[in-house]
Amino acid sequence: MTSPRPTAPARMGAGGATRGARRWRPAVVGALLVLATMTAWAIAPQLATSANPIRGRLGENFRPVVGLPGGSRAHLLGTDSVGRDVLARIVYGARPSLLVGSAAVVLAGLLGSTAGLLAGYLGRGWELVLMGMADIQLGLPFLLLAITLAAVVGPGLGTAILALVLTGWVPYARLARAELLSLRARPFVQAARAVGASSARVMLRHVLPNLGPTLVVVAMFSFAQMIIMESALSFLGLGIQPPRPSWGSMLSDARSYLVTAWWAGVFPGVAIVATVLAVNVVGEELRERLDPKLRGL
Amino acid sequence: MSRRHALATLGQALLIVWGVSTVVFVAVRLSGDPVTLMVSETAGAEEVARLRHAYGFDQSLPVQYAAFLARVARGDLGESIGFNLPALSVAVARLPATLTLAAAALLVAVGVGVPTGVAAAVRRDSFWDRAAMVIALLGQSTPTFWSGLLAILVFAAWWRLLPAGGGESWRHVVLPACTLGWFSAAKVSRVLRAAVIEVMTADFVRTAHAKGVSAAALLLRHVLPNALLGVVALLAIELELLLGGAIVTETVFAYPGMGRLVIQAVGTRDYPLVQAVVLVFSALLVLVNFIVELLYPWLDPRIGTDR
Repeated sequence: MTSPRPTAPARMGAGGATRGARRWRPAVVGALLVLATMTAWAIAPQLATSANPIRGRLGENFRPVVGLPGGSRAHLLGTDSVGRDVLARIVYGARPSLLVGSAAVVLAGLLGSTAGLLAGYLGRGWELVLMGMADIQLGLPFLLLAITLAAVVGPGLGTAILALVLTGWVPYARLARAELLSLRARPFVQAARAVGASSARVMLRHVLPNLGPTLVVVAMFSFAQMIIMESALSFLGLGIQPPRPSWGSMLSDARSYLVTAWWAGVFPGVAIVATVLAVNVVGEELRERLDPKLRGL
Repeated sequence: MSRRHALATLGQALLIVWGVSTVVFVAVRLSGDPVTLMVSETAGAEEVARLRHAYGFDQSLPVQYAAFLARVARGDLGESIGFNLPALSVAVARLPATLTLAAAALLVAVGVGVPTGVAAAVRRDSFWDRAAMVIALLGQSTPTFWSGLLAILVFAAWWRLLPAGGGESWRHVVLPACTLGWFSAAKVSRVLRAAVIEVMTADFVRTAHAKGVSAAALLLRHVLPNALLGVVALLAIELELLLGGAIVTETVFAYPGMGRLVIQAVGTRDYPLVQAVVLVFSALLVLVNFIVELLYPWLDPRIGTDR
């Protein structure tokens, strides 16, 4: 078992100094570069491309990737069926993906860990309610809930985030509750109680700092999942609505002219996989650095 | 397997179905007036009022809720607007196609995942082990709708080996099943690798080895039966994920299952049909879970049934 860390804050400094001289693996450096690029695209897409992502020129449609016959340097990754620059749409598509993913992770994390801590602290009755709700989740997974919501309140960004939060809180709740129960039995928490610390103080000063690193690692992996789910929703037409660009809806468009213009169906997928892979690699690294007991999850 | 365990599990399953129905009931009323979801935008006020009365939306919420639960229990989920047929029978008619796809995908997951997982564990830290890990990581990061598009491009458009879409024969199931299954194959492979490595360090394996059991017999008779138990639990979760993933995969390959049906129903504002498919899907998930809960103590006697 690992040793308790009574006062240690969540150690996530850029140097990752927890284990002294742990080397930066090339894969992690690459992953961080990918994430930095995606973040930059999401914040300021106009700096990365000068082309218009929404209005295309019909005469320019189905231009192939630069280097192929017919391709031009004006459209490095070619154009789609209505002459829109594929690269520009990928750059502008970074924002909805990262925005929906990060908003959903933060909200689900807050909701889930609060619910878990409350259930652990308040005891039996609350636990039953919480775990019952988690069980219902089992019968109504993310896509079904998203479909129901989209059919009722209409598709869009808010619906996507709502569906992700409503299905994403369960792992945090389970984890927070389990950790709370095990931490409460540890000597350092019992000692804090014995000297008269209030429940709130025990929770904030002693339980949360120990819970933090674990939750951060779980959040990282769920962020990767949420990016995939957001693009799946857009692909099904239940997420961000056209003509606004998103990686999922680009793939959905490209399906009908895949044979004519493979590039329109390949590169948005590369963007998704690169982002998700980068998040997973960084998550793996965080797990190694922050929380050895999660290894092998 | 005790009868008490079976009854408790059944009770839990029924509770979940009730919970899901309630969520759906609440969701429909989130929008304010469910009738506006059902009629076309051109319908007159008279038509809206008639439907509101016909569906009982003019009654109080508790009365509506009781009536809704009674109808769900009878299997009466209203009439599909697009098909002019009972919504439940439209949904159930597509059930075999979706089950075929999910079962074929599960077959792919086991067929690919088990041999590669065992091979990776036996030849630990070899080139093949590392390659399998990289492929597994890649598999977990690739959405099925993109790998599906790539599969269509390569195997249907360029090499012309298999049809790109439709659902008339077994040939139409191959690409969707492989696309859907390889995601799970990656996970099965990783979990089995870890399980085999763990079991190989157990005392009884060392004893068997010491008394001269051959390496092949050791693996097949002692290690695998124990390691596969963890995979069975995983497969239950995977089957649920595969059923969910079928919604996306069916859309990619224009495969005529429940998933594609529900997406079309959302597009045509066929609310009763959406509700019917969602409830059938979730009943299916609960059923799978129920069966696995019952099977598990039988597979692994070490697990007590009196939790």
